[in-house]
Amino acid sequence: MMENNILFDELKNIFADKILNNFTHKDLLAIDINGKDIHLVCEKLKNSEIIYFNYLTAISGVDYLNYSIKQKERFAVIYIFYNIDIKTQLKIRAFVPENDLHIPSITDLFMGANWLEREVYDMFGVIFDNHPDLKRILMPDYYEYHPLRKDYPLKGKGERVNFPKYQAIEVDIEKRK
Amino acid sequence: MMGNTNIDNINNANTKETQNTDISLYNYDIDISPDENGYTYMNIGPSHPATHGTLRMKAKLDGEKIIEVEPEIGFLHSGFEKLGEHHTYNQWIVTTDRMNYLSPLNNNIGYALAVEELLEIEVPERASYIRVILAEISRIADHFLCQAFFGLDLGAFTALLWGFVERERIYDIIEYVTGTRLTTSYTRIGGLAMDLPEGFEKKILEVCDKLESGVKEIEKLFNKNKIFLDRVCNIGYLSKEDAINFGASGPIMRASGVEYDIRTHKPYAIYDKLDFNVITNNYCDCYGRYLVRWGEVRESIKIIRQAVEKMPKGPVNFGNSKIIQPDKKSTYTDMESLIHHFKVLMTGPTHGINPKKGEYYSSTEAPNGELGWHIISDGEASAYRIAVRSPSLMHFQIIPHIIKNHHLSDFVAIVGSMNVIAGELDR
Repeated sequence: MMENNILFDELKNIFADKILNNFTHKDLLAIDINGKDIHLVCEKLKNSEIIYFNYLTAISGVDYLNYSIKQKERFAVIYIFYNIDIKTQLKIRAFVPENDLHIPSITDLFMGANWLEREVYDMFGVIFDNHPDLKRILMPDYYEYHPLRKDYPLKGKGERVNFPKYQAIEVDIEKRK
Repeated sequence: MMGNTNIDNINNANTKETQNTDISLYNYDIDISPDENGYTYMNIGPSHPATHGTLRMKAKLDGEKIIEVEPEIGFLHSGFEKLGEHHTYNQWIVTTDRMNYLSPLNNNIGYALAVEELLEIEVPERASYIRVILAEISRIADHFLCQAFFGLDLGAFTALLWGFVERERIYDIIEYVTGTRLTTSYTRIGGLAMDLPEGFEKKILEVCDKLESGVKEIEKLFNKNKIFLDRVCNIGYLSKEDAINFGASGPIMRASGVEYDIRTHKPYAIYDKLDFNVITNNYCDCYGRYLVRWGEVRESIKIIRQAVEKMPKGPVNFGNSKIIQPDKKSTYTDMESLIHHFKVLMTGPTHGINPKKGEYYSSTEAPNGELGWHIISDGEASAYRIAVRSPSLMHFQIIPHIIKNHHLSDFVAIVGSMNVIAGELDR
């Protein structure tokens, strides 16, 4: 298990100019970066020789709208990596500005990121560039809002009362093919 | 990915969105004869007797051989994470029961540990021993059910009944301790809801002996059975590099040769004082996962016996009254205890458990894999954001990758060995 200060020195060697901030809570080291750099950072981490973080544990999104400490941007995507051989964990917070909700996808490096990024898109509206199949995963396809944002109320916006109503019509099978 | 295929057209083609009309029954005229390449499209729908829960898979078949599968989830989505921002920390324990409903005690214990690590407190030793014993017994229950349904899907009905007989014994123990069979909600932040009743140690040691013989009986049905081996060996091959790349964990990872168990990598709650092995093998297919699960049941029985022997006496709740309520008897004579009984439950800027502002990720070893909790706190009685890392979501992504060029009857074996539970998948 690598100590946090040794780990941070190694990270600074690899990409010193991308790190905006860092903090630790107990034994988990967290780094803040801009959202645009995440693909570069993950690639370098995966191919590094000493700290090769090749196991993606989790991706989740956060909406810092009502948080009491002002953060850099409104949205952040949180990546948690792990190294099985040296048993060390690393957390990366990638900030995404509200007026430009785009962040590169890391599906080509980690295949497990596919559905996790779809869930962040579904719940927060963050768009992942170069994702193979970005569409909603938990909510229905015709849903308009992004539920886990802080300005979406807990009880919803009346969807339980106004389900869309369908009517069966005749279909020409030849035309459909 | 399949994208815009005939299956999606089936969804949208027959319908037209209108206002103020009655909902008519769908009138499908689906043509299921093969198309020009010889492929048929089949929908293995959300309500199906062979899928474990509400999972939908759109399959592209060439006769009986599977070319491609595209899964669709979200039929059981209940907004647990959104509720976590409005409930207090203790109130949300109730929703953790409903995630992996086969082993609810593991979820309770994992969440309570995550909040305690955010607060940077440690529960007394007796509470840790009790949590370990209950976590292991509910892990045994989950594995019995997984193996029983694995046998049922392949056609062996006896395995299901024998597996459930053992599970009833475990349900009796859980009811003796917590009061309910399924939605236990036994832990609290800073300790447990109540101490163990009398006679628990004797009962659980008896049950452990019977569980060991139960494992042997079901193994006699399957381990050397030619029909079972033909249906299960070399099916669903997941190599070591793919398992790491996909983020698999738990028995699936350990059957592919990677020794990753959170109980030994980052020990929590007195696992470092107990002596047990981590079962791995190199088969990488459904048979390997089946063997790993039985090995884990035997190791869990070993852990329970050691923990029952070493368990000390003492208090069960953390001493600080601002985090967990004091003993009920002291409220009859002591004014501060009575005040704290109210203050811990109320919501507001100075009431309740108010952790410092910060964020932390912690995980425990659930029967399915790594169950993780990323909690952000804003200094209030309810969390700012709770994000759950569910193992079933990572495992269900693997199925389209390993199912290529298998037959339709192998599909059932693969879905059964992945142990996907819909409550944890959709949250």
